[in-house]
Amino acid sequence: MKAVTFSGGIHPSYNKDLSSAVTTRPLDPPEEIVIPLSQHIGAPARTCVEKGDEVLIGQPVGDAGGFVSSVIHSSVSGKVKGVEPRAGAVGTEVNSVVIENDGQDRTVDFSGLGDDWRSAETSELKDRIQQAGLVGMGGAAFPTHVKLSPPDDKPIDAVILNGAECEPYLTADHRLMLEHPADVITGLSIVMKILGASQGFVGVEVNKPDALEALREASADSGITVVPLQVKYPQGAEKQLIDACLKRQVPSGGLPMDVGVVVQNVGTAAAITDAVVRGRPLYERILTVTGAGVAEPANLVVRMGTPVAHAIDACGGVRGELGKLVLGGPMMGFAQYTDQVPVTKGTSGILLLEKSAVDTREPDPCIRCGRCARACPMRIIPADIAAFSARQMYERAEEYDALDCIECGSCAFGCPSRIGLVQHIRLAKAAIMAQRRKGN
Amino acid sequence: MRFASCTAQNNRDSDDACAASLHHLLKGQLMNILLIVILAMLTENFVLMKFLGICPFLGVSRRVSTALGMSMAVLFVMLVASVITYAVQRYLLTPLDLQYLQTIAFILVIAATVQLTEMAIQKLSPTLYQGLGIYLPLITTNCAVLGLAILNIQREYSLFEVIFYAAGAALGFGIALLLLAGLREKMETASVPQAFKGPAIALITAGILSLAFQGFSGLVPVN
Amino acid sequence: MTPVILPVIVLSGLGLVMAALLAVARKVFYVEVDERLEKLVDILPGANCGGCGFPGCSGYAAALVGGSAKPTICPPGGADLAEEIGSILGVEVEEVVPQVALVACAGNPQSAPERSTYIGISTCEAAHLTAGGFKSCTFGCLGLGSCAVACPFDAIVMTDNHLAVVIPELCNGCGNCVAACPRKIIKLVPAAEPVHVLCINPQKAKLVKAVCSVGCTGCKLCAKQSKRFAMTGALAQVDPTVPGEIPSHAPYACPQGTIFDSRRYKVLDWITMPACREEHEILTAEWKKAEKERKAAAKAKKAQKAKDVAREGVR
Repeated sequence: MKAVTFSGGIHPSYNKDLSSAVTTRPLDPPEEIVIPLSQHIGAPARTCVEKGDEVLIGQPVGDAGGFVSSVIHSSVSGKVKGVEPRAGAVGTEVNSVVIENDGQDRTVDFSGLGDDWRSAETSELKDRIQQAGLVGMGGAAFPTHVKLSPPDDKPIDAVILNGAECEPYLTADHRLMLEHPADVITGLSIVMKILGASQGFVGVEVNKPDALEALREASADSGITVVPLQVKYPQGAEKQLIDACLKRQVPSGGLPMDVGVVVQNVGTAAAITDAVVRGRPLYERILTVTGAGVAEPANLVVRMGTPVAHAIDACGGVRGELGKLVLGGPMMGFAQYTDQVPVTKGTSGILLLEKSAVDTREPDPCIRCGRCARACPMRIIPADIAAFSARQMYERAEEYDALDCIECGSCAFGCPSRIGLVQHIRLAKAAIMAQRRKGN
Repeated sequence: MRFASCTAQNNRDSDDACAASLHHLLKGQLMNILLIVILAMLTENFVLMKFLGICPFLGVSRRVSTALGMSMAVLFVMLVASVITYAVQRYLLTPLDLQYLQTIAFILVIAATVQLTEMAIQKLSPTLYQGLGIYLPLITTNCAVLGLAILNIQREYSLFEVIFYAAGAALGFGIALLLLAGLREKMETASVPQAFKGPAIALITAGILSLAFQGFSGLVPVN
Repeated sequence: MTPVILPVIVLSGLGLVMAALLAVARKVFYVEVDERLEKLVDILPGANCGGCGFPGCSGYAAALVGGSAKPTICPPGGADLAEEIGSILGVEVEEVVPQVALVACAGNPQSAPERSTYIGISTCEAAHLTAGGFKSCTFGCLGLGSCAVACPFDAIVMTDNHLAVVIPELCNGCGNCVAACPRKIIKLVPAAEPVHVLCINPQKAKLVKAVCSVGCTGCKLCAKQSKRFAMTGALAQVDPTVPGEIPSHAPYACPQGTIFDSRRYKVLDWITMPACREEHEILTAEWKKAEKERKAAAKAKKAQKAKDVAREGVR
């Protein structure tokens, strides 16, 4: 099968060999775990434990704060030290449950459906997924059960799993597909059953031939297609993935379900298998600790709430002079001001960049080369929107479809004038959304 | 002039009253009209080739929407004023041998037409009225309108031709205005050197536009 | 005579015809214009600052005539203008309290250091959107000057120590800066109010002290000095609805030096000149000493009195 792709996009240096051959290993949790009550898009969870309570692994510490919200579980057994604001991944303090680890790793009883999931009711499957606190594990952390509940007028006929892992440096999904291909395929089958979808795809970039092979073997006779994708960023963005796999274009301002598709990350699919088949809630995840600034890049299975510093120490600590600490990949990840931020459900990687990798030069004026427009996978004109944004002409920015921007960073990546195009567009989007809220 | 002789030829043929020549006549007339419109719109573009009406050209070319409104207003004024001035010249001034009153009489007619337009726009579209501002009454002194009226007389156009020449001139004005407005909207996000900001860069842009329009010269032979 | 009379007749005739035409058109296209509108546009300040919430002064005038706006909401015009508007519109005008903007943050880079290096667009909105800003205190002034750009009266100064300061004499209270500040640090306060708490961090003492040395910790010591200080959670604020004057020693009660008193210092001096704070600290120490002595004396007096009573009893 020929590798497929979308139009636009860029080819950054991937730097995946730093960690792609390193087998995942579990990371022992630290003495103290800090579990933020807001690890997802939507309402923060409501705390359901108090200071002094004994908790077990897998025991909920936060109840969903609404439909678009998520349950949060303890990742260690021990005593709750308090519920207080702690540093969160987005720069502001987040209300968090602090737990003292007793080191005994006592768990609640995990009772999964085993192979019976095939005969289970859809509602029960969905309920299990919701109770396991599943969110999208690619980075955005959108609650999974919401994605699995499309309105009745939007029938879903295809489910695509995103195994592209197009972000440079990251190898967590790669290792997962290689080490647990059966879990990924089972997860996809569960999602297809819930949505009543007839087609299932797993899209994997061709720079992971071993993962492609493993998935093909695991999906034999299941009716699921493993799609080889060209190596290009942002191949894993959902609209681009749908374009590549199904040649369907999501309309401007629309969602994948408008074209009958639901996209999930391969990590989410594996977690769905864990939740439904084994009854294990989402309290740990695979992530990549990588970059030139870390001594021994590795793929770790980390408990939620582990401070980033603990994971870095387990990989030999910082090497050289640290320039930037990023949660996620280099293109869409979030730079951090402290290494005390905890790993959350959406943390796909910890990237440590050297001082020399950080460009502190001031931007030059736009030379109208158009490289950003060619690179844009959403086919908008980043330079124009950024120029409007810089002059507070947000209405014009909206006319130029600023809201379609997926903030992938392809435009800024190739900009010869080093203009922070994404930041300008993000600013315009925030202003447009604020204006809309005011209007309503 | 080619089409003039063609018309003359057709006139002679029409004496024979044959269908083919009638067809010819019609074709000749259409050709004539088309050439007049192209002449007024492009080759003799009032703004960019004759440099008439520069005031509203720079004044209301900041946004495409107001430029469009202005073009419509000018179209209306040019059409009405041309017809009335044609009538005034033909049935009042020439018979009474008062051609020397041409300028003052025409200005009177144009001023009245502009006033009429202004009242109509104020009633029909207050936002456009606000957007056009001072430039609306200034159409009165818009030399393009007076220039058009006088050219009509000088060229000895028939009433039919006058209407199309006026329409063509107004369309040409609109094209120039919209082109500049589009460019200036784009220029809002350009980093123009401080000294060139505002009217300076607009004049430079207009100059380059004018140079481009020189390319149309020679498209239609002018007598 | 003909060469003179004929042209005159012709032109006048033409003029008359046109005049008649226009007279008819005037009737057809008649638009009612309220004469009060023009008067209002004339007396409004013409700064088009938008402080009233309408698009420019003419927009406000139209809203006034239409009856959808109050005459008191033009900040630069103040009470005088409100009265004039009232007389034109023929309505009663309630009293306007003149307001000025106040930047409620004094956390300079020494007291509230940067927690990270920010490389990006130099506006407060952009910096605030980027991981909550580069300043240790996520409530503090970022000092990139979005408010100063928004101010139509050039009343906001960006100081060398990365803070914004409103010059009260220049401020008309239009509130553009209030809207421009992404952290909502700027608020409108009564112009006559001399004392302000220069902090909006609502967090508890431990978290505030971790990020800023001049932030309000919610210790409530100021509230003991004057009823005008109201606590909203762990943040003290001067309550404009409570009448009375704040005693001049109230700022000395604040252990963090968060309370600013314009009766003693100009706000720009207070923010930019370390000497003001040094003097303030000396005065604070003196006041505390005096307060201690006063309390000791009162205690001694009370003890003496008790002793006297006891002695009386013995006798």
